[in-house]
Amino acid sequence: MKSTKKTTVIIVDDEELARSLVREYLSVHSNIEIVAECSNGFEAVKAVTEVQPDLMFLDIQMPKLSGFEVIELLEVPPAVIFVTAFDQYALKAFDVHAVDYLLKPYGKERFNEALEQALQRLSKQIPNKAKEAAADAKPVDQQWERVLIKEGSKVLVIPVEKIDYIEAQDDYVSFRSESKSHLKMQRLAELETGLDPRRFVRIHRSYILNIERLSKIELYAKDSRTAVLKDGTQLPVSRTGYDKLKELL
Amino acid sequence: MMLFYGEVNLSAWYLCRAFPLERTSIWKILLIATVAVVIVSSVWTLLGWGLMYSMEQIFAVKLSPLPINQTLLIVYVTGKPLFIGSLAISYLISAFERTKESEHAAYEARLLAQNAELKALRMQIDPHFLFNSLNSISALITTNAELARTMTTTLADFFRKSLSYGAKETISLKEELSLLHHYLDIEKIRFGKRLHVDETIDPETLADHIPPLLLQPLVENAIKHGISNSIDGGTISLLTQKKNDRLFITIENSIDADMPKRQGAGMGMEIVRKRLQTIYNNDGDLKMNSSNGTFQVIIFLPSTSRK
Repeated sequence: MKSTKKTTVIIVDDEELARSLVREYLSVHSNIEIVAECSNGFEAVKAVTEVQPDLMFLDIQMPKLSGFEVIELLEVPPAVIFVTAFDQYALKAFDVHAVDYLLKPYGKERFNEALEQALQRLSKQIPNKAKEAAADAKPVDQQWERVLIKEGSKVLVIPVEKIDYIEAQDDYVSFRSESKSHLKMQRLAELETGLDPRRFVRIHRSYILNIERLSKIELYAKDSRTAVLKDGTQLPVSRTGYDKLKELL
Repeated sequence: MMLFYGEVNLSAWYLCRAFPLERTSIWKILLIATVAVVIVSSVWTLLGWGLMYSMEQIFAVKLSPLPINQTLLIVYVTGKPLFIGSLAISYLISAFERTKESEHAAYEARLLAQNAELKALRMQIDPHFLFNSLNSISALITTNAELARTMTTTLADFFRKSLSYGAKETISLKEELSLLHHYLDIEKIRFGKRLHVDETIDPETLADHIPPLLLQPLVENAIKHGISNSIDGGTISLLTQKKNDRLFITIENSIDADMPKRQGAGMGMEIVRKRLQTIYNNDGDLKMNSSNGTFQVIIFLPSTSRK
């Protein structure tokens, strides 16, 4: 079964030689079109958002963003074949529903096998569950050191210590950092578990506060308090939130 | 008679155990042996008398054709050389066992040290370096066969040198640097324009001796954090100096502010520090500095131009 439309592919690897090998192995397949090559995670997120390729060859250890972080940031990730020298991520790769996992150095036969599998999956139109899985695959006990936010095709990296507070807004959360707000599709509860509980406190159903920004807590009615931040911002504090703060301070 | 013999042997053995030759002065042993000979012979004679007396009284059996007194005298006299001989043999056996034991312990300690060293050396070259290099060679074979060949031989030189240097106790800084150059040449092919190397080597330091493959893991770390984690790459700086009979080696790399900060010393650095501290006691150590977008590792050790 041959479709008239070519399968579009994007190659992501920080090493030029590694990309050139994928390019070479793909060159004999006439039904494949390489639409972009990226040397880091930022470029990858931008390119995938703009050109929406069918398939992505993805390195894992790269500058700025890892291969897994790239998948997490994409709304509609393409089919993924990981290409890496490290074998310890293989299980995690299949957790995010990768088509295959190529270990460097790999031969042509092994490469073609992976490609064949990807083409088969694409022809069957199996819905890609990679996105939710990427978030789930994150080990729960590991705390985030930075938050990744995608704005258009750009990726923003915010180190957690630069976050003032996080506000829940419907399906989104808004990160307040350096006098700017950044929206991300995520649940506040999920954030709460990923952040260091000694630095970030859920002070209200809709707010997580970086306690380093707290200036004082004011009581303005019975059982209702307001957190005043160092920049003057006022946030509501619930009763359980107040208990948590008291415990920490 | 068996009972007597057993008593003599056992008491000699216990005596030997309680007062080992290594930890007791020879006079004390002689004194103890003399006292013991008298006691053991007396006990032995007493037992003999008891046996003979009871045999004669109860069963009217004579164990010896001689009168009891005479027999006991013989028993008393023969007991002494028997005990002394037994004591001497006991000391001999215990001394023999001890040498065997200490030999075994020394052998075991040597094996342990060797294992630790081997493990340390194995840890020093990241296997992913080999996998990534082979992948680069595989890519170069069709696009630039000449460079593929160069990379293959450089890789072979690097591994051959690291094996032969690794077997030595120390190597000259010049030798260690030549190993690093092979390593960096390979990484330059892999990373292309992203890797810059800047060296400031004091020629006087080249003859100094250092433990083999000491700098290799540090340069590997610098590449990992300074180059492969950065989009535009960066510079690895190497600096050697001599100050007050001490050799100082500094390895520096730029760091990307967006990447998570390194949590303390990594495994590789911990091994280097341990090696320095074990070999040079307080005269060798490793220090780390992180400021203004650069990460710096300084190691120092006594300057020794000869082995």
